[in-house]
Amino acid sequence: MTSDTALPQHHLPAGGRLLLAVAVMFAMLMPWWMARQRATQSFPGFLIPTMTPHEDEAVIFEKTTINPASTLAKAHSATLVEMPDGSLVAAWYAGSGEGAPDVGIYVTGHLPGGVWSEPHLAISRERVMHDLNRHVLALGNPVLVADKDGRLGLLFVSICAGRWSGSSLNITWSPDGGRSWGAVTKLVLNPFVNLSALPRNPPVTLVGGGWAVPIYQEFMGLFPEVLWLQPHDGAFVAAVSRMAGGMSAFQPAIIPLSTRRAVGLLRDAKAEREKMQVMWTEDGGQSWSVPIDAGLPNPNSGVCAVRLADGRLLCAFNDVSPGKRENLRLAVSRDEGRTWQRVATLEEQAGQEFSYPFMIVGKDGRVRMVYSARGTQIRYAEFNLAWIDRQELGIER
Amino acid sequence: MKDTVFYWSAFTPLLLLTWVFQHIPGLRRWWGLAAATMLAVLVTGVVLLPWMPAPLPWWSASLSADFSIVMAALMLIAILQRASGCTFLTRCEWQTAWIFGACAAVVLYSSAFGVGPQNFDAYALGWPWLFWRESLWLFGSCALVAAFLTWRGNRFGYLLLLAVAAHIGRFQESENFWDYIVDPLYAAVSLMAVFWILGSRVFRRASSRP
Repeated sequence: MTSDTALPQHHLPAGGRLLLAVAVMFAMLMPWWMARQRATQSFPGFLIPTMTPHEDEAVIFEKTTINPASTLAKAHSATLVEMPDGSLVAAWYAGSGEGAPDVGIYVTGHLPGGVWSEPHLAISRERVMHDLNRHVLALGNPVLVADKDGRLGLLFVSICAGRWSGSSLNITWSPDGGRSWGAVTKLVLNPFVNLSALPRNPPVTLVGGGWAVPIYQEFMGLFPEVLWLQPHDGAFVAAVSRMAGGMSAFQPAIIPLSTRRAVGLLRDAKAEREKMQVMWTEDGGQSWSVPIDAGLPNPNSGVCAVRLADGRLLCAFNDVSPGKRENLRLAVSRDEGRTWQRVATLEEQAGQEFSYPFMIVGKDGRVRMVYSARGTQIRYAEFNLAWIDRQELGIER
Repeated sequence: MKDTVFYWSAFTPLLLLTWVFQHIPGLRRWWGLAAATMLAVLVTGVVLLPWMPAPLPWWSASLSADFSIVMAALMLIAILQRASGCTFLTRCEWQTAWIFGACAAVVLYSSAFGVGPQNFDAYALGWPWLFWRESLWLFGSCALVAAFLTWRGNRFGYLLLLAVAAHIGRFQESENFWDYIVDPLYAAVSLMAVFWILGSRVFRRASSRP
């Protein structure tokens, strides 16, 4: 870096240099100072949804395939959201194979008391490449959010290199319940060329609007994070906070217990352990306890959990089986996730795969759930508290 | 994607390419200011022309649209220094740049990979609206470093000021302040330079002993 001619250094007197230094210091602090107004929104707390289950409701259990006519070789990672009018919207990725260039995000809707509409391709790889002005190898892991005005948001990943670890998160919005989508925007959430930030489980609505979306890293380590999507000037701003570091516990599900308290359930990638992990927050998701064994097995597969209208927690998970994901079971916790009791088996068949459960609780207190079945199907299950009680009592076990 | 972000994603890789060409033995005499201007024109053409259906920024943005302002400025200065023969940054100022980059890299990337306290992520401090109090450590440290360097007459401090200005103007795709001051390329070069500086000092000290 040497050269022939040196530019003259400034020769200010000591007082002038001091003044300049002070001015530089204040200028450097400007972005921090300007953020103080937005900072009042950080960690506002979880919104506990109001649920009004019908008294003495009969047992309700319904199970259906929502993409029965699909001829695609792979359909996986389904997501579900309840709109303000009570209708449902589901999305998943499907194509010729996981990570294949023809994988797109498919969306379908369900009016109250109606049937699922024909799924349609909502987001294709070509569309994402056009909107982001860059090359994309494949798409995956959609997660839907809906605000109180009925605007639907779709978070999904696009892979720029390699496999899932080379993915980054994007968002797009729909004003008409998923029929049309606006321009796709990339969220920059990671310092290492924005690699690896993936959503999987339901977002939690925040007090004052916005969401805490459980996401995870799988680039160098495997660990859970929270994506904070918060309203600002008519749009949304995004930031990420860490739930835990490490190399094994990831794909978090966040279940709010109160405004400040929540349980986190995690998938376990540690082959010699294979136990679902659990952690808690007491400060609205800003900090989390160290993950510990939840007492349920986890053969490195996705878990999901919700808080029922009566305060119990309900978890959907893959139990022990000769193959890795040959069953899909439900377990209930009455002590905020410390202990779990198996209550029902939703699916079980040797040699088949049932995985990636995604559950929500509707305003009517019913549990609504989507999951992957046999690699090609997306199934929907709906049941109420009366059905869970029956299962817990062993009446239909 | 804003146009500025689109073209910015190609800026640093092209600067890197230019710097590499400048250091090819035998080509040095072609690197006067006139040649640098011609190169800038050529580079603009390359950026706009399609390379296998799309222009170059389309490909570079696929990997990263967020090369740091500091790295781009350092590379531009290195190219101009070599082309013009002027010293825009002295040896001491270059060393400051490497030390700053190495320190930022160690703090940022170790926690980004999940190392360190379980709830701590240095990258989150770059979003002051999320962790307002805690982010004062990042912004305060950079402000103190920049102020100290300015007071000492070290011009590297102005590059930090440039990064802050770009952050306020949302010049990059990222909203995180870290992405304006450090990137993996700057981190790697800085770490190598610091090891080189330390290694050569140790070697000099050892060889000067009787």
